[in-house]
Amino acid sequence: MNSRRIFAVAYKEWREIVRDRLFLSLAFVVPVSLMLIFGYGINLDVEHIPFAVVDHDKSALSRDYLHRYIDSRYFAYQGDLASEREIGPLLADSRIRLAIIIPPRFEENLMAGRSVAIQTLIDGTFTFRTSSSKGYVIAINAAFNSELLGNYISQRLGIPLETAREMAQPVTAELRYMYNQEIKSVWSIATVLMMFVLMITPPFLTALGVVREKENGSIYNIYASTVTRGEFLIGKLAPYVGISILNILILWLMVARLFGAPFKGDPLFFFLASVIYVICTTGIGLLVSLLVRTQVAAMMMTVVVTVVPSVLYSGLLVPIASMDPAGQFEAHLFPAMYYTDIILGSFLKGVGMEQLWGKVLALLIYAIVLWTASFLMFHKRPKS
Amino acid sequence: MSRASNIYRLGIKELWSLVRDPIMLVLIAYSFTFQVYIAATAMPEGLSKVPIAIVDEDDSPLSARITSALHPPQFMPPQRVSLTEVDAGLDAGLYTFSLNIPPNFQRDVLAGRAPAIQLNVDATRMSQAFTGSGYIEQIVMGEINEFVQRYRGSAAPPVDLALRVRFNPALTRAWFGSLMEIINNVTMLSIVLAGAALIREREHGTIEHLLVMPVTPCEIMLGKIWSMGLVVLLATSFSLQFIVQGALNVPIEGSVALFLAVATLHLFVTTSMGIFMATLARNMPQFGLLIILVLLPMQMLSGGSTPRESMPVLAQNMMEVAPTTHFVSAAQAILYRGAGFDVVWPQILALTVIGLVFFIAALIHFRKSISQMA
Repeated sequence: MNSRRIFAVAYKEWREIVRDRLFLSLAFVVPVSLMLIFGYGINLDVEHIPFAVVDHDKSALSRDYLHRYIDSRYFAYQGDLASEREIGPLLADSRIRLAIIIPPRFEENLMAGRSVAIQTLIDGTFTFRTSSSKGYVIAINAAFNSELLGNYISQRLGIPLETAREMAQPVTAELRYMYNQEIKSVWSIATVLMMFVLMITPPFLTALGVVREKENGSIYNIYASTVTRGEFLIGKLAPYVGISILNILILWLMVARLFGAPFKGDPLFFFLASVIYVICTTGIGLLVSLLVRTQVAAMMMTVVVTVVPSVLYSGLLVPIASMDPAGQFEAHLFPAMYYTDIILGSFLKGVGMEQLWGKVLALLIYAIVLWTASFLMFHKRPKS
Repeated sequence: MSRASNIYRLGIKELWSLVRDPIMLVLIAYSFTFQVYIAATAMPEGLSKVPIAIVDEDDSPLSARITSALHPPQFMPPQRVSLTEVDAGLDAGLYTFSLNIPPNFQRDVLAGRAPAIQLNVDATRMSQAFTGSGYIEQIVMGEINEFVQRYRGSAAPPVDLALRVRFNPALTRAWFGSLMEIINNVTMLSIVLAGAALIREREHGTIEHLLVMPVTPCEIMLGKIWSMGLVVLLATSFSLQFIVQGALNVPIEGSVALFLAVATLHLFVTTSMGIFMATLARNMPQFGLLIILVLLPMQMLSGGSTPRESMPVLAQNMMEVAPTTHFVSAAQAILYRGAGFDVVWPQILALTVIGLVFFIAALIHFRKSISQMA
C-alpha cells in the first residue's frame, strides 16, 4: 500500500467526477429529492377512507349510527346510494373503499331488543389498509353497541345512565405509544427513509464508476500501471464514500429539521455507525461492478440487490420478528435491517452504544467481508 | 416498405447485443421469476407473529384468559415479563407491544370499578403498531366482555357486523405483491433497456456508424422501442402464466389479453421515456442517476404500494402525468376486478397521449443531439 498512489487514483477519480457537472450535482440532488418525495408522498396513516352508505331504514337511529363514521377522521363520506347495486361499480373504480348497508327496520328492531346485522363491504386490494379499516369499523360499531347496551340497562334497571354505561364497558384501555407519543408517522418514515436512500445511491455511484472503466477499456491503463489492486480499489472508491458521507449529513439535517424527528441518541456514535453503513453499501456496488461486464447490467443488478431487500427485509413494512424463518434469514443477510435499528434507536428511542453495539459490529463484519471479497475477485490480469 | 425493414433490422441488432450480455439475461429472468415470487411471499399477510409481552400482576383466571387469547398465528406466544423489564425490552425491540394487567384486575372488573388495562406500543414499527393496537384492544375487550357476561349473564351485542371483503376475500398478500412486482419490473426494465441501448451506442461511438447509413433517427428510435418492448412483454406474459397463475396460484379475474395490450401501450410510453432520458444524459452514470430520480418516485407513488387518496394532493396531481399511475390503475381494474375495455378506456387514452408526447420529445431531442455530433 502506497498512500501516494492511492491519493493519485483518488484524485484522478475526483477530477473526473467534478468535470462531469451533471453527475456531480445528481449525486447530491438524487438523495435529497428521494427524501423529499417519499417523505411527503408516502403516507402510512390510514385516514380518510372513502365510503358510501345504503340506508334502507332512514331513521334517527340509523343516521346516528352512520354519523359516527361520517364524523370520524378515519373515514371520508362520499354520499348515499339508493341500492346495493350501485356499490359494485364504485368499488371497482376505487372511488370508494368501503360500503355500509343498513337493513330496513333497523331502529324498530333495536328498540325492541332484537339484534340487527349490518353489512359492510371493504375493498381488499391493499391488504394492510383493509385490516386497519376493518379495525376502525369494528371499533366504531363496538362503541355504538356499548352505548346502546348502556341505555338499555339504564332503562330496564332504572339506574343512572353513567353507572349503566360503566356496566356495559367493564374495562378502560389505555394506549401508550412509546417513542412517538403524537403518533406522527412521518417521524418513523423519514428516519427509515434515510436507510433506504443511503442503501440505493452509494452502490449506484460506485457500480457505474468501476464498470464504466471496464466497458470503455480505460481500465487497461490501470492494469498496465504500477498501482496494486488494493490501492486501486481504495483510491477509486474514496471519492464516492466521501460524497456519501456528505449525503449522510444532509439527510440527517433534513430528517431532524425538515421532518422534525427528534434526535435523542449520541451524535458521534450515530455518525460513525452511518459511515460504516455507507462503506458497506459502497462495497455492495463494488462487488456488483466486479461481477458484471456492462453498465446496463450493473444498473439492473444494483437495483435488484438493493431496492427489494431494503423495502422488504429492513423492517420498513413488517418487523423482522414477524417474518417467517426464511424471511428472517434473508433479512439478516442484508445490512439494511441492522442500520434501521440503529437509526430508530438513535433518533426516536434514544439508545446508544450499549444496546446497539451488536448491530454496528454486524455492519462492520459485513463491510469487511464485502471489501475482502471484492479485493480477491479483482484481478489486474483478467482471464481471456 | 424499406422503412419497415430498416426498423425491423435495427431492432434485431438490439436483440443480438442483449443476447451477448448473459448476465443481463439472467437478471431479467431473475426479476420476472424469483423476485416476483419473493415479493409475493416474503410479507406475512396482515397481522402475523406479532411479538408481545405481558405483565401479569393479577394472576387471576381472567388475566390467564386474556393471555391465552393472544395466540399464533397472529401473535407469537406472549412473553411474561416483570414491570421493570418492559422498557428495556421495548428499547431492544424484543416485542412491539406490552400489555400491563394491574393487580386486583379481576376483582375490580367484577365489582364494576372499570379498572384500566395498559397497552404500550412501540410506535416506530409503524404498520404493525397501528393495526395491531386496535386488534389487541378488540381481543382483550372481547375476552373481558365474555367473561363478565358469563358471570353476570347479559344480552348479546345488539348490532352485529357482517364484514365482507371484496376482490381479495382472504386478504392474501400474494395477490397484490406479485402483480405489483411485475408492473414495477415492466416499467423499470423497459426504461433501462431502451435508454441504455442508446447511451451505449453513443459511448462506444457506434452511433457514428448509424449516422452514415441510410436510416433516419426515427427508424433508429423505433427499432430500439419495438425490440426492447418485446423482450419485456415476453417476460411479462411468461411471469403471469407460470409464476403468478402457476407457482403462486393467484386467480386472475379479467382478461390477460387486455392486460397485455395495455402493457404494450405502457411499454411504448416507458421506452420512449427511456430514450428521452438517454438524450438528456451524456453518459451511463448520469443516465443511471436520472433513472433513480424518475423511476423510484414513479413506482412508489403510482398507487401500487399505497392508495392514491392517502397521498398529498400535490403528489396526486403530479402523478397524473406519470404513465405508471394510469397503468397501475388499469392493471388493478383488469386483473383484480375483471374490468373490460369500457372501464379502462380513460387510462388507455391517457397512456396514449403521454406516450406520444414523450415519443415526439425524444425524437426532437435525438435529432438535435445527432446533428450536434455530426
